Amino acid sequence: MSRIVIRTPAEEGDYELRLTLVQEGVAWFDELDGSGASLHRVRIVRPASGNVASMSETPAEPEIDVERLVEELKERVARERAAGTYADAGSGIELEMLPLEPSPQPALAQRFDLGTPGPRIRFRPELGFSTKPVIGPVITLFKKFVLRLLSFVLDDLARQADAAVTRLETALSAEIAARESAQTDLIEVATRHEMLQSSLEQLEARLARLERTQQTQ
Amino acid sequence: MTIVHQLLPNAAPGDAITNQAFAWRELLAGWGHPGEIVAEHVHPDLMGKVQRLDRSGKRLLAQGKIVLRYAIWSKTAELALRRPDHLALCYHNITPGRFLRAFNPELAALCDRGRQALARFARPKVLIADSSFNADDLRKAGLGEPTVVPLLLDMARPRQRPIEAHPDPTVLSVGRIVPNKRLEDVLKAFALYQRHRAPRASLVLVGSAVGFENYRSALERLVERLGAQRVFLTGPLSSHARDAWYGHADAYVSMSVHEGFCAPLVEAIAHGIPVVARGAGAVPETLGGAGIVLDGEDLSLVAEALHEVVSSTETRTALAAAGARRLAELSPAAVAPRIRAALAPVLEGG
Repeated sequence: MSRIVIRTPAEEGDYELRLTLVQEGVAWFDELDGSGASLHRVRIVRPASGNVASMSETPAEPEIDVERLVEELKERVARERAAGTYADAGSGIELEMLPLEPSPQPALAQRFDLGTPGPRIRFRPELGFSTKPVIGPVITLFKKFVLRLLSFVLDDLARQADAAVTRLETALSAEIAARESAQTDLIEVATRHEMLQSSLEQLEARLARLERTQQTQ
Repeated sequence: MTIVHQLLPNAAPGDAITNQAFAWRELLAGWGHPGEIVAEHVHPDLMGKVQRLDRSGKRLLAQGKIVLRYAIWSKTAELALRRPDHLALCYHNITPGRFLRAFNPELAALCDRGRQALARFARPKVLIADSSFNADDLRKAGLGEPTVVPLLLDMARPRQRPIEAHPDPTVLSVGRIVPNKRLEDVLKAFALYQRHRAPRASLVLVGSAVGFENYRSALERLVERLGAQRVFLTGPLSSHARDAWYGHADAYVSMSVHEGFCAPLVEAIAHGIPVVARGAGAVPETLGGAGIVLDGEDLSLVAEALHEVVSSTETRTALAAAGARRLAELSPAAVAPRIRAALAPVLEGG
């Protein structure tokens, strides 16, 4: 058994005394593992005369042996079962598996493949190819020119459509978020209402008890 | 001064991993290691607080050390693993796909992909797991020996609650409505408890069912078939409303079969609520003796345990005391030095 001298704090009160070891320059043992310290709740008291404060371990709190309690509970349940209680424990009522709901559809913008970089309209010069002899190459060149002009116009239209779809989806998302938020608020209000109701019932019961006590007095 | 950025797949208000990132950022800044939180998907409410993983986000990451928070497969992992010498991998666990497949096969595939990818990771400079349970996954993946550091949760001192039994008890369970939480077992155990022990008891399940709406519908049908009364599925709540339920509850129940840490257990303890939980995954480790841990096979036993923690003053008092001790072990003052020691190789690397 070792004796340890400890300088107590000047202030009276309840403290936690933690005893542990240190390997200098490496670590405190309890920093590596919380169980590497011995914990004591101590009370520092300054005597009426003298300057030296005294230290005493605070009274031990009630301990619980959970394993023993569980064994007692098992015995109690066995007795209750023998007496007919808990006969319905194995009622066979199980969780019913419901058919899986289909996965939610991807966002509208994803389904339309919006927001991808590059032109929305693919320019396909092969569509302007002419097989006519002699003037074919000229016609091909002319058609390609017209197709190129058309692709610019169509690309612009496609981008306008993209912007409209995106705006629509943003508005829909905002509405969904607002509805969800309102639903959450509603649940909270309902929860608080439930709690208030319960508190009110308790108060009514206490009031009734008080009235009965007064009547008996 | 080493700059430390944190990289995560999704940043959303109320999300446990996002909360960890904010808590660590404050801690790291206090130690003289400023940094940003960068996420692939950022909730609109966090715009300005979290940097998106766009071109400027990638430029940021190229400059400092990275803490990768890994909880599902995403391209954040690919990006971070290009610089393993500057990386601290913080593993929050990934739910195995088999628990989710029946209700969300797409997410199940993503989860399995995330777990399988662990084995192909380059060894990061620092390896951190929230629990020994999570550390086992990393060891099995051949990534080396992780340091176990619990979640950094800034919980207030345990609330003083009336110790006497409540005539109309409320049983609470908090967390996403997902199949690995085995909420069907919570409903069945509660139905037994209500039928045989507390006819006026209520059950409140707080959490979002996004992506698992069909699981929620199946649970609602089960409530009807079990004949349970006063069962409320609140949906997603603000932290304020969730805390109000913690303040109102008389017992907390968890029947989850896979948990990498389970922060709601600590939240329940911090609100002075006695906990009854299935001892799966990291649950026994997180509770650290401050709750009743059962194997969860016998739901009558779960019902009886609920009755015990609601009705026995002695058990409630003892669990509250054990909870106070556990909260001290998980306090920021106790966890912060462990984070610093675990991150030392990247912080000191310059």
